[in-house]
Amino acid sequence: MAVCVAVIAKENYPLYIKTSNADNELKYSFTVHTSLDVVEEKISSVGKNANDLRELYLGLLYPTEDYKVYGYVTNTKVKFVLVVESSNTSLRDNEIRSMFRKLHNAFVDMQCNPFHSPGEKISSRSFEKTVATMMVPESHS
Amino acid sequence: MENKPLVTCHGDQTLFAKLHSTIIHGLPRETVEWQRPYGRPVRQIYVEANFVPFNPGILPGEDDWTLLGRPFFHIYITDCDVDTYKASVKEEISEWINALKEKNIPDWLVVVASNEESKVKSKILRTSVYDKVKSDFCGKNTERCVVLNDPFKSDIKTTESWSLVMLRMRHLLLLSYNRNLSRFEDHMRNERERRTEPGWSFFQYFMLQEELAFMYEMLGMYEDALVQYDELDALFTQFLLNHNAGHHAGWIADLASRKCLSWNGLCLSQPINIDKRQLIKVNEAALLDFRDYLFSRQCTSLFLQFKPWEVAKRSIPFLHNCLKEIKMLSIQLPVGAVDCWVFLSCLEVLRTCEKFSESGHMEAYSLYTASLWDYARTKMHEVGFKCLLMPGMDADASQSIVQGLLEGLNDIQAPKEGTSEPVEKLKEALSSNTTFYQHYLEFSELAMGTYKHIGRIRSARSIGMDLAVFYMKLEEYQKAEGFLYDALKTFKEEGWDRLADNTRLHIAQCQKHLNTQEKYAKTCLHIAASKYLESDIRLEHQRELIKAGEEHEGDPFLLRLRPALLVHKIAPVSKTFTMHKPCVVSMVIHSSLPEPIHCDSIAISIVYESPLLEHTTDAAVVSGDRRRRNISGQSLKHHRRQSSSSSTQGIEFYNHVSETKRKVSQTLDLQVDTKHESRAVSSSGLVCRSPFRRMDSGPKGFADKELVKEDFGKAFVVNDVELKPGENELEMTGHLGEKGRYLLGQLCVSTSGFEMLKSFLPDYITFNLVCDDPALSLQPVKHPIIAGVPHEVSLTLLTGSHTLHEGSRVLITPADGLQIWGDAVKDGTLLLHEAQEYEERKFTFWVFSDIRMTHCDDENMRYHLKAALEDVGGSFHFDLNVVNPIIVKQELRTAGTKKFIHLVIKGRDETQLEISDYKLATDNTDIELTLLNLKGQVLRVDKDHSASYMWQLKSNLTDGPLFNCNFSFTYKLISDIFHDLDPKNVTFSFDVENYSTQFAVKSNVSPKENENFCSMGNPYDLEITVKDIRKTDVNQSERFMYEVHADQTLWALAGKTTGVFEMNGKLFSETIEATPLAGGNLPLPIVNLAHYCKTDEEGRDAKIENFSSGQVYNCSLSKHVYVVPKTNLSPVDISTSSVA
Repeated sequence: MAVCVAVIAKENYPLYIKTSNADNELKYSFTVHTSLDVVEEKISSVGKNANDLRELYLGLLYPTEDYKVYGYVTNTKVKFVLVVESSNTSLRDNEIRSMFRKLHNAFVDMQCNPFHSPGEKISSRSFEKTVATMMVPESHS
Repeated sequence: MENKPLVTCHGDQTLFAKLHSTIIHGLPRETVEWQRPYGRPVRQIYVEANFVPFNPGILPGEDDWTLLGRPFFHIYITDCDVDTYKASVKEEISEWINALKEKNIPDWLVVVASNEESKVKSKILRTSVYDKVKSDFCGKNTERCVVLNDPFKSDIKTTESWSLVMLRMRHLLLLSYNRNLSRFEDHMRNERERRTEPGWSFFQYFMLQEELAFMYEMLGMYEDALVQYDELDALFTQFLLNHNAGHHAGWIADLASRKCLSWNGLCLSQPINIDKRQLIKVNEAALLDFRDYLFSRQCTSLFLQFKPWEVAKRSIPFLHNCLKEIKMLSIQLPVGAVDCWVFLSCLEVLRTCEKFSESGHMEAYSLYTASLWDYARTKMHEVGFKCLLMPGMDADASQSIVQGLLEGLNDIQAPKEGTSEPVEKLKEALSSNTTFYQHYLEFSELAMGTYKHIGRIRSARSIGMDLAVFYMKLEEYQKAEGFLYDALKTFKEEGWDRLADNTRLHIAQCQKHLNTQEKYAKTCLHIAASKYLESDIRLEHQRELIKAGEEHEGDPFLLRLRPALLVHKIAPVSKTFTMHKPCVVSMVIHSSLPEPIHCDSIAISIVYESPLLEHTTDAAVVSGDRRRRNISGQSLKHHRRQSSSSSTQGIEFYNHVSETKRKVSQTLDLQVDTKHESRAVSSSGLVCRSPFRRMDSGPKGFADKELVKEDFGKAFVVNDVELKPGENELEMTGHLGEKGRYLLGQLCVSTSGFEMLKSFLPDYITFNLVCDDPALSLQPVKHPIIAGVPHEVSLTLLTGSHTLHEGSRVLITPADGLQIWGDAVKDGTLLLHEAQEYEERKFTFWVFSDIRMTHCDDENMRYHLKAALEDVGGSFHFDLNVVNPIIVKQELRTAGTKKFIHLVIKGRDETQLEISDYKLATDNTDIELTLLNLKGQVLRVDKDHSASYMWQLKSNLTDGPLFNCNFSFTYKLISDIFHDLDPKNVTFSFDVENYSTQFAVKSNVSPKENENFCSMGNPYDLEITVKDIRKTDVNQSERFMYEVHADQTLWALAGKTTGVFEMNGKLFSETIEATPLAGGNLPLPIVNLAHYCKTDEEGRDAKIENFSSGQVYNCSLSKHVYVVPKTNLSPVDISTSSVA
C-alpha cells in the first residue's frame, strides 16, 4: 500500500497530495514533482503514434532505495502518482494497477459532482476516503 | 588459450599436424543449425574446437560434471594402407575405442585419409582401409568413419571431400553437445531439487550452473549464458526473500555471518573475476562479493551482446536490490562502506558503458546513466556525511572513519594509463574536505548536466536544490541563490506552491547572508504570506521584513502586493463623481500576513483616461481601444462600434461590453458590431487573435517585469491604517481637478521602508468625474419685447458643480441701442451672493430699445448680449429679438401732373404712441415739398389708428430723377406705467423717382345716342385715349402697348384688348367693344400702358417695359359707368300651393 498518493493536473500543478505521515509531505512533494519528468517522458514516447490505444498505467516511474514511484495518466492527462515503500515486497504490479483504477474511479466520481469545478484543488470527502483505504503508515520515516 | 570445446586426436600425429590448421579453420567456416532438445530455440552456431592429443587420462568419468575442459569429441586419423592397417592400426583403433567405451563415450570419428597410391592399391585389392574400418568398428554407425581424399591437393574432389569431413565433424560434435548438455542439465536439476536438504549450498549449485553458462558463452550463445545467470540471480533473490520470510537455510546463515571485507564495487574490466569466483567456489564469498561477481558476469554477457545500455538499465535495480539484501541479512559493514560500494559500482558501470557505447547509443543509455550519475552523487553525499567530510563538520574526526573505509578499498587493480579508477577517485575524495567538495561538485554537475540533456528538468532542479544546500554550508550563498532561484522558477511555473515556499526559505537564508536587502524583503514577504509554512516561521519572517524596512534608508523597496495582500473587491463608490467633492473608492483587501501590519498610507493612483463622452459613444470605443494599446502594448483591438446618437445608454452599453471583455480570457476578444442608425447589436462574438502561440518558447509570463511606481500625483489615499490578517475594508478618498473619465492605476501600500504595489490597469476600473458648468439663461418676462417700451427680463443662473463666492460678478455687455438697468445690475455688472453647487438664482432687470427704422417696414431688431461669469470663467451669449410697434408706409400719388408723397404710420399692437414733429425733407433743391396736413398736428397711433401725412411734390425737373427723402417724427409712449419717458425721434430715409407724369390714359364707355344710360347686355364702344404729355421731344418710332383688363363678371370685351401702337402726334386713340354684364355703377375696364421695346431691327422680338406708377396717369381710374340692368320679364310664380 502507498505512503503517498498524489493527483496532478494536466498543467502539472498538484491537485491533491496525501501522505501517510503528514511530516513527510514536503519530501514526497519533491519526489512526486520529480517523477513528473518520467511521466512526461512516458507520455510523449507513446503519444507519437496517435492511433495507439494508450495504456493509462505507466508502471514504475523510478525506483529509489526506499520507495518506488508508480504513475498513471488519465485520458485528460491528469496524473496519479503512488509512492510505495520498497520494503513492501509483497505488492505486485497487479495490485498497483487496481489501486490506480480505484483512484481513477474516485476521481471521476468527484469530477461528476456538479459543485466541483475542474482544475480546483481536491477537497472531496469521498475521494479522501478512497485514498485513505490505500494508505499505509510508513515503516520508517 | 581461448575457451573452445576440446577434441582429442589420435592416430597419425604427423599427418594430423599437417592437417591441423585446415581443420581448425575449416570447422567454424560455416554455421550449423543446432537442433536442441526440450523445444529450445534453434540456434545457428559456429563450431570451433581445440585439438589435443588423445590420452586416456583426460577422458571424463561418469560423475565428472565439468563442461569446460571436457573433451567432447575424439577423432582418430590415419592415412595407412591396408597392410599397415592390418598390421598395427586396427589394433590401435580398437584400443582407442575400447578406452572410450569404458568411459561410455560414443562421440568419436575415424578419419581415413587416402591418396592416389592407396586408391590404386585398394582397387587392386578390392578393399580399402575405409571399408575395413567401417566393417571393423562402425557396425551400424557408418557415419563414424569418414574418408578424406587427397587432403593436400587443391582440386575440386579434395575440396568436396574436405567439406564432407567438416560437415560430419560438426554434426557429430553437436550431437555430443546435446548428449553432454542434457546429461548435465539433468544432473543440475537434481542438484537443485535437493536445495531444501541440509548442507545444500547455493554456491556449489551456482558453480554447477555457471558451467552451463560458460559452455554457452564458449559456444558464442551469450543470450543463453545470460539466461543462466538471470536464473541464478532470481533463485538467489528468492532464497533470500524466503529466508527473510522464515524459511531459513544454513548456507544463508553462513552468508549473513560472513564478514564483508571488501567494498571495491563492481569490476567490469575482466570478463571473469577469478579471485571472486575462487571465493565463491570455496564458499568464502561475502554477499557483496557474490553479487559483484554475478552482476559482472551478467554485464559481460550484455557487453558481448553489444547492449551497454542494458547494463546501465540493470544497474540501479541491481544496486537497490543489493542494499535490500544487505538489510535483510543484517550484514554488518563499516559506516559508509555500502555507500562506497554503490558509488564505486555506479562509476564502474558508467566508465565501462562509456567505453562500449558509441555515440549512436548515447540517447538510449543517457536515460539510465543520468540516474546512475545521480545515484552516485547521492551516495557520495552520504559518504561525505557519514565520514564528516561535509562542510561544517569536524574534519579531524573524519579520518578515523575514512581509515575504516579505506581498509575495504585495498584491493585495487593497477590503474591503467589515462583512466582514473573509481577507487582512486574515491580515495582522493576521502583524503580531505577540499578534494571531497571538488569531487562532489563535479559529480553533481555531471548528474545535473545529464538530466538536462535528457530533458528531466525537474530532476536536475532537485539536484540543484541539494547543491544549493551544499553551497550554503560552504557559505557560498551567491552560488546557492542561483540554484535556488532556478528551482523556484520551475516550481512557480508549475504551481507547486509548497515547494516554492520551501525554496524561498532557503533563498531568504542566502539573501540574509548576502545582505541583499531588497530581495530579502521580497522573499520574506512571500514567506510571511505562505499558506504552507509554519506560523512561527511566517511570523519570524514578517518581523524580519519589517526590520529590514525600518533599517533601510533611501528610496523605499518596491514589492509586489500579491503574495501578502489580495484585493478582493475594489470599486469606486459611485460610477460618477462631481467636481469639487471628494471621490471615494471602497476596497476590501485581504491580508495573508500572520500579524497586523501598520501602513503609513494606502494609495491608488488615478490615471486620466479620456475626456467625458457627452455626445457620441464612438468616442468611448476609440478611447477604450486606445487604453488597451497604451497599457498592455497589444495591438489595437477591433471594436467596431458605431453609434451616432448621444445617449448615456450607449456609454453604459460600452461599459457593459468592456466588463464582459475583461472576463473573457486574454487570448479571446469580445467583438460587438452595432448598426449605425439604430444602435442595435447586429452581431457579437468571440475572436481569437493568436490561437497558436507556443507556450514553451519566448518569455514566459513568469518573467518578472520590473516594478515601477507610477505617478501618485492624483490618487485615492487613506493614511495610517492597520491591516489585520484577513479581510480589511477601506475607504479611500481623492480629489481631482479636471473632469473626465479616469482609471484606477496602481495600488501602493506603504509601510516604513517599503511599498507594495499592484496595478489595476488590466482590470479597467473606471469612473467619471463630471463637472456641470454654470448656466445662464435670459428670458423676457413678457413676449415679445417691443421697441420703445421698457421690458423686464429675467436672468437665471445655475451654478452647476461650481460654488460661487460672495461678490462674484456677472459682467453683461449689452448691444448698442439697448439699455439695461435694474436693482441688481449696475453698469452692466451683476453682483452675486454666495451660492452652492446646483443652486439656481434668478435676477430681473429692465431692457429698453429705441424704435429704429432703416426701411419703411422694418419690423424686428436683434440685439446680441454677452455675459461673463467672472470667477468660474464662463461666457454666455444671448440674442434678444425686439419688435417695432409701428410700421411706416410710403407712396407716391398722382393727380394729373401733380404729384404727392403719402406717408402712413401704422400701429401693430396695443402700444399707443403719440406722433408729433413730423417732417419730410430732401437735399435736392429742385424739389419742393409742401405739407398738406395741419402744421403741429399730433396724432395717436395704435393697433386701430394710424397717422397719415401728405406732401405735395413740386419739381421743375421734367423726367423726375431720383431723389432722397428723410422722414422724421417724434414719438412718445402713452402708457400708464411709463409716463416719464422722454419723447424720442425716429428718422428714416427713402428714395423717390419717376415722379413726373408722361402719359395720360383715358377710357370711356358712353351710352348710345338714343340712350341715357348704358344698358346691360348691349355692346358699347370703349374708347381708349392715350395722351403724351411729355414736355421733351418725342422719338417718333417709339412704340407702346396697351392692355385692357376687366373683371370678367362685369365686362365682356371684344376687339383688340391688347394693341401695340405708335404715337402719331401727341395722341392715340382706339376703340374696342365692351359689353356690360351686370347692372349698376360699374368700374371701367382698366387700361395699362407699357413701353414696347424692339430688341432687334425687324421688331420680331420685343420686350415690354412697364412704366412706373408715377409716369402714367390714368384719368379714368376711378370712373364708373351706370348700367341699367335688363328688365326681368319672366313671371315670378308665387302660389300658396307651392309653399305648402
